[in-house]
Amino acid sequence: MIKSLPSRKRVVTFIIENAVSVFLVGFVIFMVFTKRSFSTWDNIVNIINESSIYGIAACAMTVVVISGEFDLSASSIFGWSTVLFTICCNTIGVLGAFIVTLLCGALFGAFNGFLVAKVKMPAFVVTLGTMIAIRGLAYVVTKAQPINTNNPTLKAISQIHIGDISIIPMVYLAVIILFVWFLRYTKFGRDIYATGGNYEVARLSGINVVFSKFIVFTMLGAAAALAAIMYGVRIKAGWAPYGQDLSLHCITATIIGGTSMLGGNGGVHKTVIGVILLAVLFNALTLLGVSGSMQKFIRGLVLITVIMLDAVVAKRKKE
Amino acid sequence: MNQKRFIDVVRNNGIILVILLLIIVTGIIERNFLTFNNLLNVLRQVAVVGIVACGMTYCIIGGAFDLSVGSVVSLAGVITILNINAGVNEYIAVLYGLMAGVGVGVINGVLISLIDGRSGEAFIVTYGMQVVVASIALFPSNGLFIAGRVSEGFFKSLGQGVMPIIIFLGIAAIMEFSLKKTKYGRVMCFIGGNMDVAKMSGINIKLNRISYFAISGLLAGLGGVVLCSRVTSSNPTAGLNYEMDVIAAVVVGGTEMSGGSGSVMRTVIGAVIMGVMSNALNILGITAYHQQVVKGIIILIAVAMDILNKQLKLKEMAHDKVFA
Amino acid sequence: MNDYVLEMNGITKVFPGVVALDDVTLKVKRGVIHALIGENGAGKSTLMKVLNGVYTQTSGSLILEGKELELHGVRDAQEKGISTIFQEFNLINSLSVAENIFLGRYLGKGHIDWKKINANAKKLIESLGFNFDVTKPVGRLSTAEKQLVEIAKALSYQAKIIVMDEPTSSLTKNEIEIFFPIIKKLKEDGITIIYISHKLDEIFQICDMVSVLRDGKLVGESFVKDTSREKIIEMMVGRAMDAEYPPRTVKPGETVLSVKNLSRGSTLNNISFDLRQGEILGIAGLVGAGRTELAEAIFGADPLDKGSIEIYGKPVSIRSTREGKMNSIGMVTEDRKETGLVLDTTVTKNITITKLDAVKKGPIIRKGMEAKVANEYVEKLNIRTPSIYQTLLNLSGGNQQKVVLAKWLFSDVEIMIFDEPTRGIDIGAKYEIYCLMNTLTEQGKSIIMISSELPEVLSMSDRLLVMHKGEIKGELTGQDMTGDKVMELVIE
Repeated sequence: MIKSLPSRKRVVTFIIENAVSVFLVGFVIFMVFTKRSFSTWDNIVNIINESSIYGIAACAMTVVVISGEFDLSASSIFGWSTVLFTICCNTIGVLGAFIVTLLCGALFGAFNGFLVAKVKMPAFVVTLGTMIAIRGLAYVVTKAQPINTNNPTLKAISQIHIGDISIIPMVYLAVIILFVWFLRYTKFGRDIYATGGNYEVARLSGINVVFSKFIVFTMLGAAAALAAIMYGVRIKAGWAPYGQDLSLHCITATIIGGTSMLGGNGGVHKTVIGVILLAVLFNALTLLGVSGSMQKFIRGLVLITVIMLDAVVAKRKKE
Repeated sequence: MNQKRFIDVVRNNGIILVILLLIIVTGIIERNFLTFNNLLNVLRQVAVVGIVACGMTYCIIGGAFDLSVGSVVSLAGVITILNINAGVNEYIAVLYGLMAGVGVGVINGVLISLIDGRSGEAFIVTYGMQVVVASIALFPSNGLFIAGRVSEGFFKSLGQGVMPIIIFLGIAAIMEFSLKKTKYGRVMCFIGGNMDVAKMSGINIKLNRISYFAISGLLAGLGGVVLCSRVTSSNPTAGLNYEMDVIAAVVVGGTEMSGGSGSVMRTVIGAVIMGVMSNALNILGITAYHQQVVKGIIILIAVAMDILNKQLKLKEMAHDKVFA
Repeated sequence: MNDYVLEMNGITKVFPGVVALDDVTLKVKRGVIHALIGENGAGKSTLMKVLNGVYTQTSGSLILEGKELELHGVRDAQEKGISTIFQEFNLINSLSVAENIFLGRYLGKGHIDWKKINANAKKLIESLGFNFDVTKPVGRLSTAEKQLVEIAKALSYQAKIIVMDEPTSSLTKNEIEIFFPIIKKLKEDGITIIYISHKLDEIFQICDMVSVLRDGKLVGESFVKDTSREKIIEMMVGRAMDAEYPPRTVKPGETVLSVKNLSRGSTLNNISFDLRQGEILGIAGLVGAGRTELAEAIFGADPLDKGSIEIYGKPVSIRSTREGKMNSIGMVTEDRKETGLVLDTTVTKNITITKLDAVKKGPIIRKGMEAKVANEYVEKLNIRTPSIYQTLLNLSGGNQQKVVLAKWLFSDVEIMIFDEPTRGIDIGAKYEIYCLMNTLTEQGKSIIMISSELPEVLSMSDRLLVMHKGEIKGELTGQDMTGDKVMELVIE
């Protein structure tokens, strides 16, 4: 009897750990059988396109979470980048816009990274501050007005597709592969796991922990910018409030996928599943006619639920 | 020694001194700025942020963080106005508004103490709560502005004249007193200073922590009530980005993010200074969007200086360590 | 080439205000197991940190195989041939065994070669005579297996010297019997081992040389075969053994605390015992035996699942530390920095926190009343502090520990649990704490004392419980309270 206790405990822990995913999978099956428009090819393509954009940022958010931190400013970097990208498309052309936007995103990320890694400020304060400031910057530059672009090259790019799949999911796929490879097969990637797993041990083992923490924020900045560029490709416009829920979405997808807030484990391949599950959920809610504010409500609720479960699992595993 | 003390003052209050400089410069440029009437006006404007910031100060000293306050401001306003419009007694209507705030605070507190959450987890849980509560505030009117059918009386008096200032300063005084002089405040500093030590000293951590969130929620609710009394209407997004002003007031005042120490009085100073600065920037013709950038940067600088200061002090302390 | 693999010449390490190491010269022969012993605070850990590159010595030199050595951090020391196995291992629980062995220096060019890493790790583990899955996360290994991983890591660096800090402190007797042959084999392979321990038996069992540190100075060095227990102890403490512990004077009275069939999760299983008034009840066992967990269950920090607790014959329910305190239980925790004191606040505030009601009038805490209390305890416990408003960061370990005691004395609880009450403090302060425990029991208080230092629990306890794997394996009294009997009970 006593012997069987730990294994029963492990089973319970496993169930709690995967509760949200199991629920969502069940929900998907329910939708398939009850809503005809849900499992149509058009809708699946739609889900893929929708989720690809924030999926790009979610991959990088996962890396930040693996390093033991999180970042709220990704949403503002996204909003700012849609503005910057559109402006640059109208002035210096698509290639220039691509490079400038990406660099600028990386620069903002690097600023976060510097303050967290080097100055050792808590990540939540840093990214809250930059979240406010960068969003403000986007408003200042556009005077709060949306801006459009008619750049023909951008139009051409947006029309590239294989079958029904546009360029955006292709870029997303490339980002996933790049990150999976980076985390699994490069020294920098493994250093990030070690840093998040145990900062002191990693430091004593000669790993450059400051650089690890710095680089994850920089990558997220660049990834948020890349996501914004893809958004620009799709809608050919920029506006400061775009992507306000991006950080929340990315953190939720990361944790649903199974990367723990504790840091040191998890992976981008897991987050891909989290991204899909969340995208399916909100697509289904839209099909069911659930209102925007109700969806927002559910979004917050899902985040709270996954954070609580993650913390409970972490506590159980420690014992 | 005197020189050292001077340096200490500059170090501990650097950001305040910079902003004071801005205020003086504005005063010289614009004669109407440093008048009694204008300052009273500023004080009235900062009262709501100030009330909410007092609650946030408790949260931060107690080692946590409450990001949901902005949404609570909106929700409390919506609930109060809806009830008043429905003909409910205005005292009861205000009570409902405040109870909504306390309710959100208690939920925050219970969730966070269930997982023994530190400031990072508290931050995300209350971030989720911010989204949830903000959307609840949108439901009744579908996100539209609600005009209040408000007559003269208790509710209307809350937001008129110097009443908001009296409420703000009164609450701040009571809270500062409890923080500095009572058992409750001492326990708060211990919990924020080191939660495990507090626990192993026989202190009821969970109940105390829930109370910090409840107070933060209550004061956010009160802030919402005062705000919609002042404008006699409610806007379901009135509290959007409020948490930013509130946090700015706390950190500019000088309460450390790491918890365990701080002062409500300093938050009052922080709120007033931020208000005066905002006013000065308005007078200088700087837009609200520019101001948002400035505020974000001020939060960063204030916290960075705090942390660098602390590291420096630890170094000095190691140097002075004679009693090892 | 001389026959010393390592020479430490005139090592001095000064911290602001303290001389931690004073002109220590230590020469270590190749291929021996060299014991380094000393009381807590004697300078062992500082010397170890100089040796593994955490600290740089103030003066003196390190010579490895005839060449002067300059170390920049643990990793650098490892690469130069000196590996250290810390008591709380340098391993990352979420990563695999193989990755931990090769942490921070991955094999393969540009692209990590996991096959090679796993194969090499497996080879290293096998060379130690073991075989387990190297892709398993380290967090799922037992303490003994983690130690193997650390040794494998040292071997992967081609270590010439392995420093082991209290390697057996959390091993069972069986595990120790497996562990000793491993280090003997390392020795045969020409690896030198610096063995830090204060278990004298082990030193006589496996070490060749022994060096003794006291108060930062090297006070003796000898071949193990040429010395005796008594001589080593005398060198360690600097005086005869009998003055180390004050005699117990109190005759225990009636039962004050009675624990019946207490269980909690998988860590505590069916524990029953009584504590009598004026008694010091010792609890011995290995690290991880569940001693601290038992104390926390009684105090309410991590409440019990099953069983009951009676105080003065009345059943009580203790679900939180607050209820523990209300039932007159106090706990001096093992880690004063993490759970005992808020270090960046004052002596006064740390003392009065357990009973703020006693220093307030109406709702207001009175500064005068607080100061009176603080002064009283500073005097009573001989706490050396310039002022009662001093922050604790500026006090020494021994004085900090006295503040922890003061806070529970002030709370006036009847039952006190002392978890490792003398860890990391100097011998003088230790003696003062033992005397204080005697005084307390004379006043009618009862004490449960958890300690990993066997001589301490054996000398101070009236009765001794031995715990292992969450259970009480036996109770020793009178003549039976010996180190051998304790170890016998800790056999699986």
